[in-house]
Amino acid sequence: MSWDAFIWFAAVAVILWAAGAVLAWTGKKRTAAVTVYGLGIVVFLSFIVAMWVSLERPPLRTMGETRLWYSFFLAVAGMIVYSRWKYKWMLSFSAVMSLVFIVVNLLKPEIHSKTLMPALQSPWFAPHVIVYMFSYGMLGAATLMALYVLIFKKEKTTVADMATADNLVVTGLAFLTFGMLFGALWAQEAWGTYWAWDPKETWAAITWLAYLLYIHFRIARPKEWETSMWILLLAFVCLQICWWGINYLPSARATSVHVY
Amino acid sequence: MALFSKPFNLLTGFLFGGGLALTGLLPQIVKGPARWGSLAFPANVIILSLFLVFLAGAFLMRRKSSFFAWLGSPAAAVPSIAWCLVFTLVMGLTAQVPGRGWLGNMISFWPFVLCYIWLTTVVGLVAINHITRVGRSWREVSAVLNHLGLFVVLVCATLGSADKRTLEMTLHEGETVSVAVSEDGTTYDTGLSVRLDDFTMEVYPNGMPKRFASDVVVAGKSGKGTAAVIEVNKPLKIDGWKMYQYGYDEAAGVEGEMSILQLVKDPWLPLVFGGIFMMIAGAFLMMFTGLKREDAR
Repeated sequence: MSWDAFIWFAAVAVILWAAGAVLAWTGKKRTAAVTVYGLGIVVFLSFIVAMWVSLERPPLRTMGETRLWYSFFLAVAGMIVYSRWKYKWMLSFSAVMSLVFIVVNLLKPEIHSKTLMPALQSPWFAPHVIVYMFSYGMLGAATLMALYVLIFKKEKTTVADMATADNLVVTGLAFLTFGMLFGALWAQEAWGTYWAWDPKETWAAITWLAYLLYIHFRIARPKEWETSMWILLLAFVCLQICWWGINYLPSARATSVHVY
Repeated sequence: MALFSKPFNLLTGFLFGGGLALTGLLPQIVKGPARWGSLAFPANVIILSLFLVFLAGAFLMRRKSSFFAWLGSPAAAVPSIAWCLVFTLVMGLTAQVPGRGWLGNMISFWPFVLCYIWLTTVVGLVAINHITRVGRSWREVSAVLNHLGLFVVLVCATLGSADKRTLEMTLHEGETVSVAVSEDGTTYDTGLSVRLDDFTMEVYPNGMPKRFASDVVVAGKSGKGTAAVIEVNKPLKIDGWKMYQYGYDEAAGVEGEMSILQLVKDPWLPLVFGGIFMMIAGAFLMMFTGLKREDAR
């Protein structure tokens, strides 16, 4: 199996995901939606497995290869959340997120031959990045929920809306914690220090604290829904700065070893 | 007195944090930045013991004193997280370069330090509160792991930092070396004798480094030599030291016959790792237990 076949597998997967997403929007055929969407995931996974076999190593080494896993896990995350909490828009959202990474992989195939510096050649690399991407997907969905509640929704906010945001944040925060701590364990293995206040680490801490603030504010002031949603938006801004905004911050560019 | 029966809430919590930040300016101006290096053993163990005694006392006083009841409650958690978030944000927006004023050395800036001590205190008390309820539900188990794990990490990472040794050992092929140099230039006898047999560097076709590896024989206390290959992401563990591939002769490149190893000894690391694993387990459980929902009632 080579990268040339990727576009065909991806196309079939995306068509199945789109079909599943449309079925989900109708709101009635939940089992059909999950089945069709799941089939798309199987098709996508079969490409990853085929790559694995033909490369004789797990396809986790290059940026392009890790993007394969983001696309896969985002779709999986979407399916889990949809099955459990039945949000109509969830499958569309995760399909679009996956598609973004598929398109990047199709447009930038040269990345696949790119070299990997020794520090990145670690078994921690893939889990560190993959759990972060899963988390960002979940917290992205929570942000959509906040925008929906604060701006678009005409009717009154309901307990169910808040429960949706809470569940997405709890899942996202758990994976954010995994990502941060896997990073710490990896750094210990690579550089002999688990935390060095590198700007990327500082912003990871800021993002983590911001979501902790949301969770604890929800517990301390369970009825102040609007303020909670504003905290959620603020937290997502921190997340974006941590992810890519940091590359444009003068304070970070000067000193970070983590800009890529 | 009825008016002041519950004087500590979210709002006074934010004010408390502001007061703490202002208070921090005092030692900052009088004594200068916090000196983490002065916490070396046994000072750190003494401080830790006193801190734990204080937490136990605060826990026992929680029914008698509204202040200590508040200190272990969500109404203290929110403002302490918020204040730490503010200071960490300032840190993220300011280049951290020693010698660039107070904000350029945020981890030694007293207001920042005091706010994090406050946060650690709250986390510790909340952990104790959840420990007393741990049998009730999986949510309590998750809360114990999350808070206790974070408490252990925060306490051991900060108090233990002064006990951590980070040394550089420069080796040339064929030579045996036992001394290494710290960041401030002090030479230490590591108790190891390290012989570099071969330094290998591989590059990609485009010249990018692909692999650095040092073929070494290391003899520790036992005197028996252990042959090992040390490379990036593959450190060697011996006699409490961890040896990392750190540097090489950049001018010579692939032809180089010199290697720099970094030697790290951190006696508090197992505790920090214990805390990290508790947090991982707690976060995992949290996905299934979810939030305690007050507004759903």
